[in-house]
Amino acid sequence: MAFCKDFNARTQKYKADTPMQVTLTAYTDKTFEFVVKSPSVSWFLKTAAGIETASGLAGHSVVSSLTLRHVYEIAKLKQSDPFCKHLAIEALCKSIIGTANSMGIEIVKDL
Amino acid sequence: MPLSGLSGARGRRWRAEMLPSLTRTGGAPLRRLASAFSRRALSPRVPYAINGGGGGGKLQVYSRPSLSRDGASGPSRRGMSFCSRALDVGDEAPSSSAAAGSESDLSAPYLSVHIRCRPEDAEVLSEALLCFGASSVTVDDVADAGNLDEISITSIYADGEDVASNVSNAASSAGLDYSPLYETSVGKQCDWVATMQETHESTQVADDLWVVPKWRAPPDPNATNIIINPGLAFGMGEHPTTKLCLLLLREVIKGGEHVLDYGTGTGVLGIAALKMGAAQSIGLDIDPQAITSASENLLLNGLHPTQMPVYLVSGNAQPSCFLSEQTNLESSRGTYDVVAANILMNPLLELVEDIVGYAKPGGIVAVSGILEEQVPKVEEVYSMYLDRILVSEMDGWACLQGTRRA
Repeated sequence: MAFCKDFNARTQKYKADTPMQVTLTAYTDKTFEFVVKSPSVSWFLKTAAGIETASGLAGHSVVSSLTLRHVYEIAKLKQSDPFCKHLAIEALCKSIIGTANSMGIEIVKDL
Repeated sequence: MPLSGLSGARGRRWRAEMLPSLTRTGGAPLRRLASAFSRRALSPRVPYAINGGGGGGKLQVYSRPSLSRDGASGPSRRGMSFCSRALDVGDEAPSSSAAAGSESDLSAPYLSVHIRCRPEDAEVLSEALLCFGASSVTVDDVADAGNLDEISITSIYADGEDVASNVSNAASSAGLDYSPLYETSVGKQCDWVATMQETHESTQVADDLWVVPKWRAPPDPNATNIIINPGLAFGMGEHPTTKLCLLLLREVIKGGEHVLDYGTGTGVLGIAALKMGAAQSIGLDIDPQAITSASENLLLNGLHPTQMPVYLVSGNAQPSCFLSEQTNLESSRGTYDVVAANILMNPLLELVEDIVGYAKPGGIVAVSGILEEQVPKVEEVYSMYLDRILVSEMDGWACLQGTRRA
């Protein structure tokens, strides 16, 4: 029960049904620690683009397009993760654009 | 580099009761145990359900179990197993008929096999062991075994499995050019419910205030003892938010008050208030489980159900959406001396008018279930309705109290 209370309290800022990534360390004395990370980039991209699935033929068929503004917002959210804190926002943006390319989502300056 | 890929995510069966009891042993090596984590295992019986382990089964479980070798550290009232079948994740086929036969007998002993191999083979070998019928595989942390020539894998088999052929098959399928040494020991199943109960201690909230699990004798019979059967509802007394609320009740209850426990869970706050001298408590919850639990705990404490009626309310965050027989609850709005709500930030913010509305002008409203960093947000909203706001904190959690404006 303590876990449920903790988890729910720490994820209050997310909407219900957002898939979360959690790393949980359980100890033998029934204590635990866990880190809540932000949702995956592909989930963000799919949600932003409003698509259910990414392109099956990335690089050949483009399923949707997003602007750099979207990428920047996703990068800002990802930067709050403990393991992304030290990364520059540009680097995160590049990485997100890479993920978008591999999903068949085109990144444009303006829609 | 953590050993990945040990997960039994490929449809291996994962049986909770197959794990040897976890005991506290300080110097145990860090072991890493990854297994298929059924979604169902995570689904809580609390309102505001959580989503664990996102899209691709990303939830990794790192545990530090020190396997007790004899497996007999718990009382072995056998035959009672702990929601084991519910945790089975779809299995393609039982690996052998012997295994399938023993599967149904949850009280059967299990085989614990310690296999030694070279560290670089551990990952592929443990995968192979799972494929050839091991129920679970635990690998010593590679970091610990850094300088060692071999690493030990602890694998658990159902009773009656042919361990020798399983290990040799796994070794050859993993492409090992040697046959790994192993030793087998037999572990007994124990009663996990009783083992869990053993570990639940009474919680001392204050000098004269204890929360005692049902199966324990109160450590101090003269103190205020709140007897709770910790079930699926929240409020076993050991959580900081519960403690904060209890301490607050202890401070504000002088005798004769009417108390509303908003989101009662096990009913711990309402029961505590009655024991401290309140004239009446009311419990509200959106979870039927909590209603059952609170009613049971009320009787455990020798209180009469009329002293603390518990109401199930609708949980779609619409204040004042009650069933017809609860009109007396509705008519009691604005009459409570103390309103305590130990829930979560979002519902507290959404339901602020409802929560505050139950208190009489000048009555005390206490809200908890919030993290320290969430306090400013909650305070901002509640300061519109409350005067003399005080915040108490414990272990990163906070409880905010104030008096309702006239």
